[in-house]
Amino acid sequence: MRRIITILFVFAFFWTGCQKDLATYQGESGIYFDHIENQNLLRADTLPFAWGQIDGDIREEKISLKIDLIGNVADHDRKFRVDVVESIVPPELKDEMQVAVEGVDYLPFENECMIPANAASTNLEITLLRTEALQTESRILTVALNETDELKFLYSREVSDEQNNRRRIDLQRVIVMDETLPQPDWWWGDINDIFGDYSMKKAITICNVMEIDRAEWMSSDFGNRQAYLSFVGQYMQRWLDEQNPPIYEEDGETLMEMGPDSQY
Amino acid sequence: MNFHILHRITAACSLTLLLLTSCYGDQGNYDYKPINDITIGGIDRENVYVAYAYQTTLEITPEITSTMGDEANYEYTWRIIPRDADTNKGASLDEFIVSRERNLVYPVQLSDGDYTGFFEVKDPSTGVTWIEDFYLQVISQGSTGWLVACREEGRTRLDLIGKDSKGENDVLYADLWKTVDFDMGEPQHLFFVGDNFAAYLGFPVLVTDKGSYSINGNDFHIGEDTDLKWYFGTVSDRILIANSTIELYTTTWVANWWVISQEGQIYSTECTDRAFFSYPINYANGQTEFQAAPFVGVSYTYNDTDEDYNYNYATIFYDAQGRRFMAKYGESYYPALMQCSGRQLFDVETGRDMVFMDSHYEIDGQVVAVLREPDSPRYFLYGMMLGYAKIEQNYYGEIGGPAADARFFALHPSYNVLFYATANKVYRVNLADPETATEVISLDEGEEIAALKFNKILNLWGTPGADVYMYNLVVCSNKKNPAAGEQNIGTFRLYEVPELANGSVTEKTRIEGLGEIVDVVYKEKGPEN
Repeated sequence: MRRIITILFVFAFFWTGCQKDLATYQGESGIYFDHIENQNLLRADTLPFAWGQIDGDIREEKISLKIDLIGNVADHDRKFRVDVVESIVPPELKDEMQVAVEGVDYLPFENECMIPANAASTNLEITLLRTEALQTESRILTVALNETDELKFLYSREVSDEQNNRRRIDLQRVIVMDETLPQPDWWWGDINDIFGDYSMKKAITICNVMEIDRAEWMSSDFGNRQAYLSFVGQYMQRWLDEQNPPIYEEDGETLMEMGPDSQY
Repeated sequence: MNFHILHRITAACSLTLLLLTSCYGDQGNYDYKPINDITIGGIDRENVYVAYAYQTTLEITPEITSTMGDEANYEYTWRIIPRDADTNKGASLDEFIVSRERNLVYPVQLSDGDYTGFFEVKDPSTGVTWIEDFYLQVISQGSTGWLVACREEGRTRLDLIGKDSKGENDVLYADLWKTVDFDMGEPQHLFFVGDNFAAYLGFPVLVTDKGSYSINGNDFHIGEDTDLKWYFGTVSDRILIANSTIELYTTTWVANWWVISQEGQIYSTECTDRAFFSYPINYANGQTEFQAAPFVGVSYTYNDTDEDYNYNYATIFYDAQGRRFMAKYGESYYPALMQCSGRQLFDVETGRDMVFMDSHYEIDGQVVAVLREPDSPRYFLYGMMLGYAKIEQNYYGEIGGPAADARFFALHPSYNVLFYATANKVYRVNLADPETATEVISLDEGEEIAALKFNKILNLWGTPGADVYMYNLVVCSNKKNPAAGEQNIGTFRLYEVPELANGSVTEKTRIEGLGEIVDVVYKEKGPEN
């Protein structure tokens, strides 16, 4: 009996020896723009917004930029500001890109943000506006975080330019919006016979006239609906034939028309 | 108070109470009458009954023993109720009644699922009801058989002639849409849409005065969601189909689905789950619109192909107003006036009205049409042979016998034989000698033929045994003068047809008790089942 008690004491002694004290983070806290969400779209600090993939009758759209906390959550709200800052238009894009204007290209938004108590992130919501100008020019909007005593700039990814200057990219977001509707991956081969050569204006016209959801239009499965697409091609050609003044392609000279299979 | 005094008072009160109750008169009724006590046996409550939807006839013969009363006076009710039935959502007990006979003989017309059955025996002399329950599981195996569209008080009654539980005998599953809450209208036509491998499509189509609907799934679903107008880009309200024909072999190697509307417009699309009809093509050479007669001549075989094995057969239509044959050749998009090579037996601009056209199933490219001389009882037979982007004429002549009274025509799928039906008789005509008509069927004077056809089976491998039906002549008839309110007036018959011209046809199947028959089609297995 005594031997058993001794063994148990020894076992208990070694067991407690395995326990560790967990060292929690005791330093400062910081904020940065999340780069996990939208990571497929995000290019460094730039987030493109393609109005062209959204149905033409939708004139405003709300986007949400997630701001993450690094450090400990707190038992109280921690405020900080997000400001619209000067957007830098690349020289080679000056003819086709303009700085977004508040009230024209986006609605005024609440600059005062906060990481709520016991939360590790927050969202900045900005309402973007669709204007006719986007048909020819893209718009650029840059928003930047401001650090505070409680929320500092402790973390960000960095990129280097050609001169090896390093830039922290998760302290701001550059939103570039345009009317781009990329060529669907199914628009080739037989579909060329139905719709003719691809142009973005033609694709947008088809979607608008036929009330085709643009997300559905861009899906690979949409291209398999050949019988329906044949109807769309014929319908569009008849519709184009009825337009006065006629509809031209983006160059303003080429008459928009469908492919040879839609000329019946 | 002294305990002894209290004791005496209690004793005195008890005695008084005892004396008072002895004075109470008994008003009870001791004139007992024995009541009937019924025991129900013979229903298996230990196991679940299993039935195949539209294939099993559920038969239960209960054993009823009663202590008194006459069994002949009892009232019986069989109900089969889905486990998830909800009276709060409008389900009523009456709609689940499947029989009021003592012994249940019920061709199961239920969708797959779990059910509880109730057998109720009521003694009307006392109003007492005894109930025994049982469990039923219904399984869908794919429902095939003859669908018969019947007219009944402004709606379509859909009857199914399927097999029994053993797959041997034909059984009538009457009024499949008895509980369907959808106003589909009165029936006009039944078609079957499918390809030869049931790879993409496979459903019957019902045309009524209100629209055209596919009949979907093993539970024969019909509704707004099965309206075929959704298949048409240029139709917004409704589509009334006069003809639906499947061309199995095409240049694209995908079966083609031809539709001719009751307005005479010709539509076509691929026969796949992505079918969609674009603009009609009934424009001669793409220029002049014509109204097509409700018939399409196609080739069901594929012997004649071009060097690339494209099934490039011509397709025949008919200009109903211009009274002329039209054809679409090869890659041409629109039909044009039919051009025939080889010998010229008839003028393609016939000046006659088309009343029938169909295509052989096994004779490569053989198309047969019947035209009537305007304002005349004379009928003429036209035979055409489709080839690779060409058409030849091979039969022509006036149809003999009482053709003036002809109501229906049917072309045998493999023999060069045409049948036509008058009010209650059927005649056979050989294509090479149409002037000689032989009477082969004579129904009772009290019957009137309502449908005559050879039903093409598109997917020969889909439903074992069904291909035999293709060579059977289908004759449906209705009672000519039914009694007021009499509804089960239809009779379905199948006849075996001998190859010899002088051989008599033999009745193979007869099912009575159908509704007022309008049309019939064989429902093949589709991709869903």
